[in-house]
Amino acid sequence: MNRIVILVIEDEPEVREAIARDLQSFTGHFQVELAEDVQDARTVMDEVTTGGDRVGLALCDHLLPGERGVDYLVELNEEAATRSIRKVLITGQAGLEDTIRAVNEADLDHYVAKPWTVENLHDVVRGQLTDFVIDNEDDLLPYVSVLDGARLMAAIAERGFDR
Amino acid sequence: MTAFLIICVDGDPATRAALEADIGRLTGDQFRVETYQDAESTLARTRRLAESDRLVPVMIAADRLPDTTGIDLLMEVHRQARFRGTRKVLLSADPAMEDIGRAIGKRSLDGMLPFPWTLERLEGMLDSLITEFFIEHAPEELDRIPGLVDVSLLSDAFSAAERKARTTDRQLRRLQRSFLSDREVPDDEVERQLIAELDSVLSDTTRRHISAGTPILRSGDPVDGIQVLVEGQVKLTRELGGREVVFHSETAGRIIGLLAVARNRPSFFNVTADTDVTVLPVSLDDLDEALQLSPTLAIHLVTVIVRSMARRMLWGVDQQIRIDRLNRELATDRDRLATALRELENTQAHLIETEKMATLGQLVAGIGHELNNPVAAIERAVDFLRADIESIAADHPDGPRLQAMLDTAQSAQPLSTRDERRKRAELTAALGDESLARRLVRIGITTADDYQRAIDGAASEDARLDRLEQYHQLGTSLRNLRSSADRIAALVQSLRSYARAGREMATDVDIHASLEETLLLFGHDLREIDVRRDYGELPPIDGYPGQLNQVWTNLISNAVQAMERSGTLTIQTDTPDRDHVRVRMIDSGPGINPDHLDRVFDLHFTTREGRVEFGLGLGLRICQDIVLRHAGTIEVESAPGRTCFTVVLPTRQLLDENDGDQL
Repeated sequence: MNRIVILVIEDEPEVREAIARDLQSFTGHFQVELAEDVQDARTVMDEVTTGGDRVGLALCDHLLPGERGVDYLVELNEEAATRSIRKVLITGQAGLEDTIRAVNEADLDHYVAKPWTVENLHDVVRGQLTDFVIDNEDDLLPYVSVLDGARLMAAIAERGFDR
Repeated sequence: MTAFLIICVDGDPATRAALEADIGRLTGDQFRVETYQDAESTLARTRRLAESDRLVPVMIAADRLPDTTGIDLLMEVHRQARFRGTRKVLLSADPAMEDIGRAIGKRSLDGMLPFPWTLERLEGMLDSLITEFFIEHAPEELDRIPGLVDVSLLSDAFSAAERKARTTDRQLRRLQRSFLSDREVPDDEVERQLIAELDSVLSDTTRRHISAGTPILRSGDPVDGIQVLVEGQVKLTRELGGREVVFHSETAGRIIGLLAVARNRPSFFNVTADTDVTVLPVSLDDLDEALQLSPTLAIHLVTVIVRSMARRMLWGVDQQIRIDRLNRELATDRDRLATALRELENTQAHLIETEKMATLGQLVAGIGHELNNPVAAIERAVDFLRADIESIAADHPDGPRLQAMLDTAQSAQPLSTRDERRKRAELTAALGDESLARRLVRIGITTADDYQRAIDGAASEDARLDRLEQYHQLGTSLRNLRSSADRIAALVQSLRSYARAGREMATDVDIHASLEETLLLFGHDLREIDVRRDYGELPPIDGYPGQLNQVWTNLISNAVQAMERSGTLTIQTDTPDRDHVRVRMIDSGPGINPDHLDRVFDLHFTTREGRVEFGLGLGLRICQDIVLRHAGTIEVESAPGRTCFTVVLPTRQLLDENDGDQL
């Protein structure tokens, strides 16, 4: 198997379940894994890697028990193996300093404010996953129907010309 | 005519421009203001000035210059004899007392100008310094600067000097005796002898009789001789700032015009008959002749001159002492004003904070009230949805099964993500299908047996699972709706009770409930803090609930900040005696600096940088105010790793309706 995983890190069960449900439309092509804190996210990351899959998108709350979301995203950005993961902060409370750190040090790709709308969340996830597959996948065709088709087709055409 | 020079030194161009403009405005055409940015350029200028005779009455230097300190510059300038008399002023926002002490010790600092200055302050300082300078170094130039002379200062100084001069007369006489003869000769006698001597040698000894109030000599008149006062008394005055200032009356002496003659200058003072007087005018030529004729006349004249000069000298010293004292008094007044201003500012900040809390309280209570309606609507809608869905499910052929799934999803505690993964792994092992296991665990089916029961009798396994998933999600959504609405309702309740107006005193304040409400509102801030409750049995007490919540809020907030958001906060409650309750808040933070411990409740307490230490400051002062208003006590003890605030409150209050209005 070689699936692309969306890792959701959120400590409140209600919110976590709501995000999971909103991401259901991606589950045909992507696997959604849930973690309730940073420690848990590391375990999921190991399991995903051991199973031969890889995380393509981390959707992370900021205020978590124990380590903070931004710190984990910075950590992901520092490891060569996880650097290519697209990083999105989804939070209702991140101060200016944390946000600056996320952008400067975690190379944060997007910021989703709570409460979110399903359209916005879908747009962000679709855009980020499109970026991820263009950067990391050889075969883009399977994703055309679920991600940003126009951009994927353009990327496919470009690759064709390269060859 | 050459303008007098005022030199200002400051590294900041804006300050230089402001000094130039303000001083220019105050001093007018007779003065030129030159500004320099540092000590190097200033000293280069003073080297050039040393070769000219330009007068530099005042130099002002900022206390921090790009290349040295203002004090060092002023002391360096003072070392140059040419500028010893220049009045040196330090411009400073925050003077270092050791340096100032050093400069004062070397007499190289004459004034302090606080930064930022006011025009009034600057004017007062310039007037007195310029007056001092000119009296000391160029009294003949005083009339060029009438507007600048500090009239009252001079006038006061002169009359004080006059009194002083009388009291020092005996010492003077002792001085004269050793100088002139070993016989003590009173002034009167010397003066009588002088007049007798003049009468005997002068060819013309015609007296002039002048009635009281008549001018004898005007300031600026040429003087070609002296007038010896035979009878009566004169006063020496000078027009300063549009006012006639009396310099001497009793100390005027008996010889009018002596100073002018000795210095070959026009008369410095106006001389007016204070009483009816008789004078003996003596021209310079006649005086020369008389001195040739009578050697004793010279001795008498010298005696009178020495006495006169000594008086003037003592007068000068006395005036200097007087001015120094005035300057010190001014400095003290300035410090007192600064302290008063600081206190006012702090009080104002305190009032604003208090007012802000009261406003915030009303706002919060209002919002809480407004939120109740939507929350109630959500809670009701959840119940309606549930009833509707149940009736829809009842019509379905799989009714009971779907109903059961709905119930399970609504009542189940959400699995932790760890448990969910573990169960998924177990079920994958049992069923050999990972994606099926994933689906099943999501809807609460965690064993192979449960799975068999779920699909029992289904025509299509997939369709059955789809339908079960639907109902599970419905149940989960209903549960989440309800629990979220409950949370909002609890927060609203806390906010409202937290903000319950301070005006109303309650007789049944439950300290534990009040602590819990406050803790609930801290929410995320307490996530990494281990909050330990060590609650004893407490009776309900009298008090202002909103204000007490504010006390807990400030104490918890301080603790959280001191621990930098992680550590242990212990809240202990007990009853030290029958009439009191006690609350202790103990944090595991680094502790309060022992030097600061006795000032944590002080309104003025901030650290040097103006930052409030650990957020202490107004918050604790407000806590203290509130606790005192409840006739309670608040104390702090602190060591690294354990800081404990102890609040003791009486259980019963003396009822005073007005008390609450203060907050």
